Amino acid sequence: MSDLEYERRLWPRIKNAFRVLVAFTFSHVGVCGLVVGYMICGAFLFQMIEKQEPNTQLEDVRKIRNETANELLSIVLMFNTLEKEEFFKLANAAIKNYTEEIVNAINLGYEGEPLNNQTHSTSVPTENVSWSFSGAFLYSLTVITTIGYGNVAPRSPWGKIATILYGIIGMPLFLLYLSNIGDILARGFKWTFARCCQCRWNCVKPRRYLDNGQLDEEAVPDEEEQITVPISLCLALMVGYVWGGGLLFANWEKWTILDASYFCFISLSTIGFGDLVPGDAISSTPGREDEIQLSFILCSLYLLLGMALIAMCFQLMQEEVVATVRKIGSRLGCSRK
Amino acid sequence: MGGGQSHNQQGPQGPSSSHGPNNGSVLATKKQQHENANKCSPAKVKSCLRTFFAHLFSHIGLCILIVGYTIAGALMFEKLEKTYEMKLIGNRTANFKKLRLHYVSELWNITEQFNVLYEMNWTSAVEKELREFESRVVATANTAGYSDVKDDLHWTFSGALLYSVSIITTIGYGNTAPRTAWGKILTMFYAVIGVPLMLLWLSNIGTLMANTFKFAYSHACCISSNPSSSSRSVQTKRTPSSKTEPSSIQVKYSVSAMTCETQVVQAQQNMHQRALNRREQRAKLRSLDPSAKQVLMECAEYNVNMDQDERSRRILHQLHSDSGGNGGEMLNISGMDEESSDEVESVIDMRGVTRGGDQSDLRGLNGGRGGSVMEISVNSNGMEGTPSRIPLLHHKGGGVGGIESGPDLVEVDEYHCGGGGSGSDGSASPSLNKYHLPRTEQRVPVSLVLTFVVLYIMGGAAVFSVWEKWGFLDSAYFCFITLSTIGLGDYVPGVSFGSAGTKEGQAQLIVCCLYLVLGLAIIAMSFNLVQEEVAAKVKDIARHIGIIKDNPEH
Repeated sequence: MSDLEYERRLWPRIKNAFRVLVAFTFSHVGVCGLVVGYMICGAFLFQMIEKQEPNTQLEDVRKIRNETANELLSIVLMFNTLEKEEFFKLANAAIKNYTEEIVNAINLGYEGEPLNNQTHSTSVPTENVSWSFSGAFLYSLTVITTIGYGNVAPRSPWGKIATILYGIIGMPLFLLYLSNIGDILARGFKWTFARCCQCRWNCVKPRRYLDNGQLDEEAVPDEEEQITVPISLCLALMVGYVWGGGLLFANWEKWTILDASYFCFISLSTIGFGDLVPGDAISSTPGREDEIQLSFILCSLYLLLGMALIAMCFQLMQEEVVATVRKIGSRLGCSRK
Repeated sequence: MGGGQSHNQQGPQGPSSSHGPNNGSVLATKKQQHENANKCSPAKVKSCLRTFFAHLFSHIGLCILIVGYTIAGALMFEKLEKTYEMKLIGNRTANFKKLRLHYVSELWNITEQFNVLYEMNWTSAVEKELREFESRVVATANTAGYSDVKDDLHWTFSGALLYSVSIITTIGYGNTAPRTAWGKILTMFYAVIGVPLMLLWLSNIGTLMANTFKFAYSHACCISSNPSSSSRSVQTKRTPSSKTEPSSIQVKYSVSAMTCETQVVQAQQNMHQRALNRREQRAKLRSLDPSAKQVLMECAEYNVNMDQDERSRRILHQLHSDSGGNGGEMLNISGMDEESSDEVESVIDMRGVTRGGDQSDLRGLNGGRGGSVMEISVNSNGMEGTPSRIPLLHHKGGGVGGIESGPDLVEVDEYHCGGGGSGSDGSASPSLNKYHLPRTEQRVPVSLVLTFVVLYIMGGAAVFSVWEKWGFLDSAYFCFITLSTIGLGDYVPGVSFGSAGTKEGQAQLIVCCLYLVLGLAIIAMSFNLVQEEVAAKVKDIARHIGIIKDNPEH
């Protein structure tokens, strides 16, 4: 085979391979990998953008503190003989001002002095953990699933623009993932259910009504279509997943079970308040940043799997609802004669 | 025939459906029904009422339901959470006061300690105290429950309203979040009911707005371009768009006897877009596809017999003079009623000789996603002069080979052929006697829809940036995050420092709710408008890239 012939044969093979690869990527299992890859890219992107923000708040607060100290000094120096009430009144005013400034800073995200300077441990960790890789990964996840906790949010303008663009591309991608995975899982679940059905009880074939209103005994159901998973099972599955997640997070994050289930529900329904976020409770004790990152990753996995499960349940329930409505409708229609 | 979801209805129950292949023509059944209809007038009234209520409940009723649900939720949550929040704020304020007192007396002690004031020592001591004070303030603020420290209540009525809206739209800002246990439990139940309700409403209003948009667009388009062609109003009403299986073919027929003529013109134009020149209507009728013509003929005949409709008479005359031997297919009209969508149209069961030897039956495919569709692959057997295309089909997706995609079928608002609908079983559409002819939808270009959405976002951004004193980018970012239902909550209107408790702040919150809901409706509408086109384009690209192999029969 000459070189030219070899090249001529190689090119279509390459194209074919590429086509197969792209087809795989956009179908079924490949979408899963695509979504995870997209989130990883997003994590890197946001980490890069947001970590560059210098933490100016610390400097601002320090400045304010100095100013307050100076003010107090001037109060003290003002009076040759200092009355206690006078001092109290004026110092109170100064401290009140100081408090308001701190509160303003807190509302803008100030989290206290970094730990290494403190003698006691009532501070919270800095933003370094929020925008670590796992934190940014969780953030990307919350953007493309539209959960949107908000405990971690971009501050820089570039971060905001990046969020918008990332969301525009990522949300349809995630919907694609959901529909694909939901489809696969639904089919698998139906198949399993059908097997269980056949093994234990005889599968109840949906009844068909013939023209004269009588039961159609001879109807042969299609293979896949006629077996519908009952709604109660799907609902139980969803509730069980939320409950199980609640137990898991209650254990890990030291929340109450109600709080943890509430968190799971709010996250899986993509509402995503962000009042409770993994990593909150652990972060109150210093030095456990690795655990926080681990809890972020765990939460991400839980959410990915959970939303796939919910997509599957919705699909199964929808089929069941349609079948039931049809049955009811045909029965109603027949009974009106 | 397959798809045995249809059932037989004889008598005053809509177009009688029969499973047998040759059940007579439509005319016979129509006559029968009309006779029966005249006998059961109250039933007719009932069916009219039923339509009325169906429409009422589907649009207005849902709106009212949503508004009521939101307001009820707001009241409920406000009651639950307000007292707790007031207690929390009271605690926090008291804590702050205690801290302040404590540290001021510490400062006094320090000052007293130094008999002679050494500035350096004093300052460093004071600094230390201040730092300690600050960290305790931070700790107190963090444990009080809300991430933002304000004396204004979160749980005012408008705050609770925004909260309810953020739940049922799944935006979930989070600046206001329940702290009591009952609040959390109720939130979950509220969401379980509210989210599907909202989705239902959105799809409903999305369809409504999409139709209005298309209507306005087609009018604007035609006024500007071609005054003669489609100046008559083309009322398009589609069933809520449902995701269809890729291999199903949807057929929706709709006819209005009043506008038979227009429809024919329309159908013609859409069928022969390339070949269409200014023909007479007669010529257009002549070249109508035989099956469509037959439907038209029977419809017109019926109308003529029943109502002496002048227009129908004219059509009939033209059809008869043209038909000659046009009857090729035996039309078998049987209606099925499907209830899975709220705009049910009766579907015509047609058989025909297929092209290329592809025999296929009609199966009532009751769309798995809530649409009632028919799966057809019927082809005409190319009579002379008739196009070999099937105007009555809209081919969606791949799967059934050899059928070119016809124009989109759209059902038309109607009046039924004959007195019909009487005694229909009501659970389905009350006007089961509708026959549908295909007609092209005015496709709104994707760019226009996208521009509309972007304009809405920009408009909202401008308004919010002025009110809230945010930058334009921040406001646009807020609008995007809100409308995509991500809802981070870092920017929320009406709760910024200083305006939260005021009347202005409350008004801003309510405006935010309205903007939000309207924006979601607009997004639903735009999805409705562009999804087909986008799906088609994506398939094209995919085919081009080679993901989907081309249909070998093409």
